[in-house]
Amino acid sequence: MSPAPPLVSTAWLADHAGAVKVVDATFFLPGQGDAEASFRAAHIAGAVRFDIDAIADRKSPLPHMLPSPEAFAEAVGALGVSSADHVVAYGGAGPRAWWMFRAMGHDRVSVLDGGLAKWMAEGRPTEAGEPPPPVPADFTARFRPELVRDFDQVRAALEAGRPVLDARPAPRFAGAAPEPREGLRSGHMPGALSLPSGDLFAADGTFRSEEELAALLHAAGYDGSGPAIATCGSGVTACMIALALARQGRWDAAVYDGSWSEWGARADAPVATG
Amino acid sequence: MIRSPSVVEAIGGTPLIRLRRASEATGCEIWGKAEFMNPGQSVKDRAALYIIRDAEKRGLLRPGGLIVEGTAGNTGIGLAMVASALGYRSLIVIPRTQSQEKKDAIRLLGAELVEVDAVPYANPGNYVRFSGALAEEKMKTEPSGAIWANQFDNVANREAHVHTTGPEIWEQTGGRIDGFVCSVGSGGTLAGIEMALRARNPDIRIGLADPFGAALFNWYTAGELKAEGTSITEGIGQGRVTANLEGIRVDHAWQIPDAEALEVIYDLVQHEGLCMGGSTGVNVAGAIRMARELGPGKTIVTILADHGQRYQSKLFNPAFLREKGLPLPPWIPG
Repeated sequence: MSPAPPLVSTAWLADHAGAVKVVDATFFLPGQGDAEASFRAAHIAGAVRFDIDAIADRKSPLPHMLPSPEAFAEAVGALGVSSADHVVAYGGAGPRAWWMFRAMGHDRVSVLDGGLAKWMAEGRPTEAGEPPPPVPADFTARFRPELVRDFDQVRAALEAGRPVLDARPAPRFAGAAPEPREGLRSGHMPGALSLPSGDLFAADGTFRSEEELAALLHAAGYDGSGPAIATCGSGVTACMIALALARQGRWDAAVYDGSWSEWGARADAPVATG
Repeated sequence: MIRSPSVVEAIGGTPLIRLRRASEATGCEIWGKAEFMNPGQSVKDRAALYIIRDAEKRGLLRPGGLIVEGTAGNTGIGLAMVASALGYRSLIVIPRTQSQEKKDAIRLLGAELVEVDAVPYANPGNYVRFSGALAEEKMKTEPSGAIWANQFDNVANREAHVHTTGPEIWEQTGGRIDGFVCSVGSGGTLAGIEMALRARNPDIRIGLADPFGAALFNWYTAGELKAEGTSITEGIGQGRVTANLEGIRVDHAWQIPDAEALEVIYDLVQHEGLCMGGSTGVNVAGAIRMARELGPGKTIVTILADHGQRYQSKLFNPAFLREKGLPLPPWIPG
């Protein structure tokens, strides 16, 4: 089955309501908002809640790390998502949900371009409250390790001169602004390229055009010659870069799941500033 | 005179004003905390400041960062003011149907306004949710950081009152206070002051004055979230237990009809030179109800939340009031 397009528009989703599984991946940093309460306040009709902090390796000390394929299959199956479904994700962690499904071998997944804000701004229907319990479905995970990178693999890639793209805002990349998570050093991995995730979006919150994204990737120093690794603060906005790369045909872009939450906390990790 | 390094330090430290008519009518001492004297002219300045300071502490905002909120009123004004004073920007989501005065006030203070059609947002939860979704979008695109102020469920809101308003009231009454009463929008004021006062005197009586159309009166009296009727008051009237309200004890609750609140408002203008907004009418009416319930000789404090000028076209507009079958301001012809 050919992969679904990385992005679908609000108009497309409205036309395909009922034919796709919509997942609400609303995500806030701790203290920034209550994603569960937000979901109950309003969500796209028929959507189920996709919580990246729950569908995660809970044993890891790092935030929302990818769970095992078995745990992922069980969790999304319980949400009523089957291997045959086309999944459409929205919310701040929508791109991470997209990447998680792909890392678990599920290519029929897209992100709603512009998200819930655009959907609601257009006056499209939402629902409030707890949805009825989903009918469990069969989901088979086929893990794709090549889409997930760990610390050693990222360090080796950097040493080999392979492209690592960092989605954090430029001041954090430069080490001029502190990290929002405590106990982390400031700066970036030596050799990493800066591509702030904010640059990927137009003012209305939709992704920039493919031409604009190509220019941005080029300007960041990515020459397209090999698979890239995307990184960020905790593996959420990195997935936006991975999605931008998929739109360029680079379906092989991987995500460093530990990201700066791991790298910035390790005494043995090299850190550059400026 | 007090010298203040910026407008932000001028927030709080408001006078406590004796409400003569309410005191004389009840034999109690009823005092109003003059929150309309904050630089943004409402009690919401305090929440705005604490929400932004809290985000700074968490490292979520850098100079030029963006504060997003869905609000039809004073919180937007407070956030816009504090944001400008501290070098941030603000984006306020407002229903298109809101009065021009309010939109202008928020714009005047430098905020960007996003107007949304009121119809799909008839459910206020939906409307707040839209501001949250917009904030979520901005969090990924703003290079200097973006926050969702989220006044209903962000407990930095009530912390403002735990640390400032509550202790000020305690100090201004010399600890001789028997009861505190006010209405609820986000719940920050009532909850924060409850926490501050109860920590100092566990026997303090805390009262909720609810407008019609709100569900908390039934919640605190019957344990059921049920709303009935409507109200022309703005910025108060809550249909759920917000995060700010969690864990507090409310000893009394009253439902205040608009007509009762308006009579209080008119009385304050005519006899005390205080021109207040509708929520203050509900608050003072609640204080009078509490005074009658507790009996003479007690000291009761409430909130003078904002200035009446912001509601000229409604509370002091005979044509509007007549249409609603509400009492008219006796000194205004029409």
